[in-house]
Amino acid sequence: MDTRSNRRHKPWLRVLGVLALGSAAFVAVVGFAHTPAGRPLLRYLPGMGSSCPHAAAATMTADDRDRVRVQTLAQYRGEAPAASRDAAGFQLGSASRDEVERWALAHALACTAAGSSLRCDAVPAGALPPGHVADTIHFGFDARDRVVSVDLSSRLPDAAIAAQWVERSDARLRAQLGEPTAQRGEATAAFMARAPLAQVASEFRRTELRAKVSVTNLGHGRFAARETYQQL
Amino acid sequence: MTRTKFSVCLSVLVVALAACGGDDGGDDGAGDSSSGGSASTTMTTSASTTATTSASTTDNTSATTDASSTTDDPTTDTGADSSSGAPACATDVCATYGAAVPVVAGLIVDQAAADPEFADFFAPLVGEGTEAVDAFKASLANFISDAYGCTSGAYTGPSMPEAHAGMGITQQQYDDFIALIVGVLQGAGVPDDDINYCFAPPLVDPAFEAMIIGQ
Repeated sequence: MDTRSNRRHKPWLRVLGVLALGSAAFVAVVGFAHTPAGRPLLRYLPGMGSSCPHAAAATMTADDRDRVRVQTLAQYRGEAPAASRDAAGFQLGSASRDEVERWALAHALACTAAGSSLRCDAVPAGALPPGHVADTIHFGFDARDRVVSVDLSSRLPDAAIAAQWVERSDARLRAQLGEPTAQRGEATAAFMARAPLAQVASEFRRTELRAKVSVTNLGHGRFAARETYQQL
Repeated sequence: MTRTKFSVCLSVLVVALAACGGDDGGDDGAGDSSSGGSASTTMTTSASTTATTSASTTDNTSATTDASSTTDDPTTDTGADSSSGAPACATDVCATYGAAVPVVAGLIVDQAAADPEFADFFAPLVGEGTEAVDAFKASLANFISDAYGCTSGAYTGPSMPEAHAGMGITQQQYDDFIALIVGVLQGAGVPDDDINYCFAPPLVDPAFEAMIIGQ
């Protein structure tokens, strides 16, 4: 090979080599930064803290989540105080995560923790107080590991059972909290069966909590029931 | 540090800085905004309101009701559905509700971010601030508008499978999110017939569900 040509091309080859190495390193760094282990890296890279998609999730603390929770729920605050903070057997704002975990253990529940929440599937009959039904129960905790939300979700087999469930759940919440803030739909089998997305719902907004019950026809013979309690 | 090592470090830093700098934060996981959604908003068209917003940002939608990015108009005005005998949509959805789509999209995001089942998905976006949330709402509005055939090409975000990739959305989460949307529509005064026969079809379509569930 011509040595003069080599000497002319050497600087360019060096630059190309650096760029190639840099590109490979970039792919490695960015790829790693998108893994759970690597996401905290983003906060140390200038310019990424506020604009990169995963930076916010990587830097969100329990107090951050609490702040966001309070902020987003503020719009649902009602005017009257709640007569009860009972949420399917748990006290909103005071029941502890330990208490929930003991309950889950006592009923042999398989629960999964994620962020500030705990999700328990295959909830057996008898694990909850009378009148409550749940295939899945989802607990939310604040930064001090106190229960701030209880969300029960289940699937009901037909319109008649769906209508009965929502009627009884609404009656139970009325006894516990008084008149609903909002109510929609008719708790009858005919209404629930009329078409997909037929829904009956009641919402109770109080100064310190929000409670909702709803049942929705999802088509294909599926009826989704939810009972939700949230501390404000 | 030798010149070569310095060049390598500098090039890595430069390209890494460029990697996410253009992201607008309207990403996976919608969030509630700091503004309250009014459940009493009435959905009507208004000549003075703008139905859609610019889709110049490449934001994602997530955990929201969306149709395929190839938007077929699911609402028709042709009378009974002969295949099933069920009533068909008797309302011109775009004319009646088109201008209200941004409001409804905003309410969906607000309520989802406040919902205990979805709050963790949305909290990072809310934490990014109002601008990011508003961008997400605008993107969702564009998607809804395209999905119901009111616009074409307004939405420029990723496909539904791409937008939900890695989230592992379950059937139950999908169902509960659809139920949330129904609550928003009811609260906004949409008649039951329109919810059941106009808005429902794409939302309960198994093919559409499959684009979001289990991704």
